[in-house]
Amino acid sequence: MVTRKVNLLAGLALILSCGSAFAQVYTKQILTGYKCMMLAQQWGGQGPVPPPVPVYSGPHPNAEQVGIAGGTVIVPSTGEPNDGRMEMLFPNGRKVWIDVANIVPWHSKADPTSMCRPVLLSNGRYGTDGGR
Amino acid sequence: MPPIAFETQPPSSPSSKWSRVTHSFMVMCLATLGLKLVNGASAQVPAVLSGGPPVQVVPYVSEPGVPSLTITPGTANPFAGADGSGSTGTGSSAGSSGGTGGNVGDSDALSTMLGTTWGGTAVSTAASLGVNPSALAATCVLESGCQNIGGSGTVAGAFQMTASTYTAMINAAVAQNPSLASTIVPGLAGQMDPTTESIAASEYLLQGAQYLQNQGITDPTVLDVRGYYNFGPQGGAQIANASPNQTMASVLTGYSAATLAANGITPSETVGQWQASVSAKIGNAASQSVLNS
Repeated sequence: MVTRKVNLLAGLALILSCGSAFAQVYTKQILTGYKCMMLAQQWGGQGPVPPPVPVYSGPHPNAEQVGIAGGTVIVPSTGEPNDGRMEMLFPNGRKVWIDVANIVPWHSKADPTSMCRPVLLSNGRYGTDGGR
Repeated sequence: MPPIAFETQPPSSPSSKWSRVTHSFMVMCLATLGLKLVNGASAQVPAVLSGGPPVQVVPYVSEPGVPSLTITPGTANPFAGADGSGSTGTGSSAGSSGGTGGNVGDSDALSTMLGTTWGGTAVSTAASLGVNPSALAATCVLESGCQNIGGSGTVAGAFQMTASTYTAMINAAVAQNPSLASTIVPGLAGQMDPTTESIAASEYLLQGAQYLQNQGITDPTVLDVRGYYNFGPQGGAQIANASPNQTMASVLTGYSAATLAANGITPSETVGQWQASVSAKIGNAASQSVLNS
């Protein structure tokens, strides 16, 4: 009986120690009031890569560039462009601005029926899941 | 812009396939423990010395049929624990499927690279450029098993870089750290010199991680940068910010089904499954940060 308990504890300890390589990310919270959009110029693995799309610290023309947009962008569901720019949520949670001409409604070329939902992931990143 | 509002979302229940993966992983872990216990019980010697390879037991009675093994001392691991449980990455690690890769385990990637004659120098170079040596090690493990081999087209070397990428990266690395110039094999010959190519590969990882940082991704992991290089700047960010249960086909919005198939991605393959396939080959180096902070 004691041996069985020891074996059980040893196995449990091992599984926990192996867990260090098994930190699966999951959707922690759904972001309400936001929707997915994507860059108008998508790269599909072939041909020249489109030029990076800058994001800015604000809507005004002289706002500094603070980064580059990824393929999918998260914007307010009911947001309106301001000086031709839309506010968006960076993966690190920062609110930045992108030229509205550079984004289009989200859709997937290879999986047209799929959906995209802005979420907060368990690793702290603001990202997406496929909720419908 | 509205304040960020949340709906509470419990962790998604694992798919049956993911459960199988989890089960396989646990079985593998238990098997590993079993081997460790057996070794510990029978050898009665320290498993690993801090400065080198395991101590060899020298038999005084030979056993018929048992081959004679010789362990060639390699470079001592100066980053003991770097591939261990102290993972610093915050990214989308998915772990190991425990069945397909030959390099599953805590310190396999770094140990594999350090088992080469050039591994120790490569570790120093990576660190000098601000790159986590385990990230560099994971790259050579994935690309060539850390063997200095040829490839198709202009691809060559332990890190399997194309000639053009190699040239651009080695030049960038030397520009960043001019003292490296005296240590490299000049010209394209450097591509087949693992020490030199490791400099270019470190620069490649550095630039990939910095690009992801510019996309708002804090602390890019080895898996994140792998996605960046496999699927481009847009796709890399999409994968890095995706829930593991999404399909690769839905996340990589610009890819056609045909292009995905040509890259070995099936229609139902999820982000988590792709990440697990990479992790299976490099262990928990997958979730470590690429950049030394």
